[in-house]
This record gives sequence, structure tokens and C-alpha cells, in this order.
Amino acid sequence: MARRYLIIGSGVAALAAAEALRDADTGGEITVVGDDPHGYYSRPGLAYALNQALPEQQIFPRPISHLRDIFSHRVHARVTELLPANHEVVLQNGRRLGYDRLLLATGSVATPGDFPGHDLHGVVKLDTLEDVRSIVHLARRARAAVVVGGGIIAIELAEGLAAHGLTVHYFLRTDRFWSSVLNETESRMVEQGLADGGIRLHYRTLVEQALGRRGAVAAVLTKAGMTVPCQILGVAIGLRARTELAKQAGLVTRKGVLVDEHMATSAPDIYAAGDVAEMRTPGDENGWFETLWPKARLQGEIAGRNMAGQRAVCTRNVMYNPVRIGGIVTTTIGSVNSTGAQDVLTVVGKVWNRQGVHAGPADRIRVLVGPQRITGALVMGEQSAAQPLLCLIEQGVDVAPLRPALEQQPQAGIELLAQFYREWERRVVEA
Amino acid sequence: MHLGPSLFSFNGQTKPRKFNNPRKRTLQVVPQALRCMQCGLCSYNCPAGIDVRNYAWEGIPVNDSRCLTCGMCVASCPRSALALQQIDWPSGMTG
Repeated sequence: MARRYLIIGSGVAALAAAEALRDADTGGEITVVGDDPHGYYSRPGLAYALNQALPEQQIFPRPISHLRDIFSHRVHARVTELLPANHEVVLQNGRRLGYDRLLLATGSVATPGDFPGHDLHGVVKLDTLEDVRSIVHLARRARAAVVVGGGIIAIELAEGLAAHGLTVHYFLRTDRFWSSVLNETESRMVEQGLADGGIRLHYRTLVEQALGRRGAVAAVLTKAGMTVPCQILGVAIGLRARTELAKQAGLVTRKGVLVDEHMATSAPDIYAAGDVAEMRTPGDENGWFETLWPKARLQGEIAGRNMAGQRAVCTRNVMYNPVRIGGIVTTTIGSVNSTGAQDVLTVVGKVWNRQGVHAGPADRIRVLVGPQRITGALVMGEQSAAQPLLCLIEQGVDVAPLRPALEQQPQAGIELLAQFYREWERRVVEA
Repeated sequence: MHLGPSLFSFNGQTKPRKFNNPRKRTLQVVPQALRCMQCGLCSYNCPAGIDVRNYAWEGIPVNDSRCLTCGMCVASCPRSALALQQIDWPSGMTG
């Protein structure tokens, strides 16, 4: 009898798990249940559907025929109850589905605003394709929008709304953008890019209340007493793992559903992967809880293989996050915040190894060099440094011999690192 | 799942690879699966109608006879997940 696999969710972790399952168990019965009516599409691609760089149908990476090859059944429904003892789930319509192995890939959702008026018509988030449709519909009649939030999704919302011709006011809680990752110079580069795109930045500005008229947002009142008229209020103040099912079923959860290195939860035959999963392994007390696409894909694949009976192990990757902010491609690798870190040398430059090529105004490389290893790097603009730096960080290459030269010639630091990488690469290739 | 061969494979095994006989090199679009979020801008902007995104998911160079190596996909990628690179021909990269 074919083994019954049940996947709850329709994001990249779910797809990666299903593909791995189909590879490992060609006869297995794979059922995917999701509450998103559109099924699998690129969530990061929503930003480009919103800013009209892409038609909506383009964010679906897989043709229906491919999905039919992988999934035995696709069910559009919300799962309301998980019954581990019975190996069953209950759907919103009361229907029950049994399973032999189950994957929780329920992802995360935007944290709602915590101010009065957050539930008015016109207060939007950017989580799903339905959100994009709603924003595009609202933008047709809107003249101005306010966006709150300090991260990437907030910027995507602001840029998307500006692309529809709206006057966009972007409220920042602090005195610069993404201050936990970028230093002041880098924040200002991004902010300049946003301003060039017509976005008006308001520093140290917090929402006191969304003011409504006939049930729809009409303005935002700030804590400083300023009133900003708007017809759309975009809220992107964080993401929250969708752990409700796991909690109801008695699984161990913290910020996410706790899993081991095999992506197994505390309940037999139940696995979790992606944004909803928090991986904890012996010796890693901080856990691995990120809402990043590569992590979700990797964990989904590992979970799928293990659900099929293999024994795959997930190892925590160095954080690698390429994004586009203020028109600048920016990659963060590892830990790039040096505040409070001891014995960390910060090396800054503009070009990696492109001799004879002039750096653009948005090109910047910042590398944090510890006593033995590079702990993190940030690459803005031209990206040829990103892969080599990821290599050096991920492989834990000993850079201690380079430290004295870096300390003596800080202006030539990036070039020295590039030379060091080339020599290291040559040795590895020859070995 | 087939994840290679790319310059740096998807799941963290980031080791440099070497090119063979340089006299047999050709230009090819090479994706980094780790940077790709499957948005589809590359496929949408390809004048030859190649589903570049699928190559990026697999982490393999765009090996399609219709590819003009025009660089439209490279330029359109919002996360710099694609690059035009010299690559061994006809056997692809080795390492």
C-alpha cells in the first residue's frame, strides 16, 4: 500500500519537500493542503507583480502539468485541527484526511499593526497574491499612501505603490533605514535611492492612529501629532510564524515549531520546514529561525527525503540574503553588525577584482574580519565579491595571516582580501 | 533533486571549481540558485522565450540552443542571480 504523505502549506518548502518525496518514493500518495487559493507561486516575486515589472501570471514558476506530476491530490482548504494520535487532520469543512507522514510548511504571516484603525479598509500587507490584487485595486483610486516598517517588505510596498503613481510617505521608527544591518553610510545610500524613486522618508515617525472615513483609511496620525492624508496604509512591521496548528496539537514550539536536524518535530511522523520551523541542534542553543527563501527550500528538501525514509541531515547555512533595496542589489552574508564585537576589523572598499573598471556610486563592500575568520560581509551594487566572500565565510578559511596587512593598509583591504581569495581558490582547485 | 553543476552549488557546498581547456570556452548564462527567488523576471524578459528561471532553480547553466547570450535575463534579475560567464564547451564545467 502506498504511503500517504500530507503537506500543509503551498510555499517553497512545501514544493521542495514534494519534489524530494516524489524523487524518493515514486509510488507515494502526496496530498498538499493549502489555504491560499493560488497554490504555489514565488512569494518574493509579489514585489515585482506589485510594481508592474511582471504580469501576475509570471510569478507561477511551475506549470500545472508539473504540479500534477508531483502531487497526487491538491486540496484548497484551511486545516483547523491536527490530531497526531489519530494521524489525521480536520479541514474547515469538517472533512478528515489521514496521513502516514505529515509536513507542516505553513510559513509565516505579516504581523498586524498594533494601533487603532489597523483594521480599516485600505490598511494592507504584502503576503499573498490576493494582497497584491487588493493593493492594485485600491491604487487605482488612491492619491497617497503611507508605509510603515523597517525591513525589505516595507520597501517593496513603498516602491510598488510609487510605481502606481502614488505619493508615498515612508515612516521609519529610527533615524535611518535598517540600522540593525547597515551602517550609516549604507543606510543613506538606500534612502537616497528611495528618495530618487519619489518616496518621502519620515524619520523617527510612529503611527498613533489610522484615521478613517466611512470605514476606509483617510489619514494617519503620528505620535508627534502630524496628520498625513492617505488612502492606503501599508504595514510591514514583521513576520510571525504560523504555529497555531502545531500549538493546538501539542507540539513543542518557541518562536517556531521546534525541529531537529532531520526536520522532525516533537511528535512522531510530523515534520516542519520553512518559515514555521525553528531548528535546534545540540550545541546551537540560539536555534535557526529565519524567514528566508533558501532556508525554506533547503529544509523542505531535507524534510521530504526524511519523510520518505531517508536519513538526511540539515546543517545550518551561513545567512546569505540578496535583496534589492532603494534600487541597489545588496547581499548580506553572515553577521554584518559589528556593534560590540571585539577584535573585529572592518574593511571597506568599492571594488573586488575588476581591475580597470570604475566603481559606481552604489558599489560598496564591507567585510568584518575576526582574529581567525571573516564573520560577515555586505556587498552593495556590483556583486562579484559576494560569492568569494560567501566561500571564505562558509569554509571558515583562516585569515589570521592576512590580518597584519589589513591593519597596516586598511585602504587596500578589499584588494588584499581579493588577492587572498584568488590564492586560496588556486590552492583548493589544485588540491 | 539535481542541484549542480554550478559554480557554487545550492546547499552550502561552496567550493570553487576549475575550468578545463580554455581554448574551448563559450559564453553562457550561469545562475546561482542560492540567490534566485523564482520571481520570473528573467524568463519574462528573455527574447527567445527560454524559461531561464527553471535553470536557476536547478542551478545549472542555461543550456538552450535558442539562447542569444544577449544578457537581458542577467540585466533584469533584481538579485543578481545570473551572470554571463565563460564556460567549457561542450561538456560544461568540471571540477
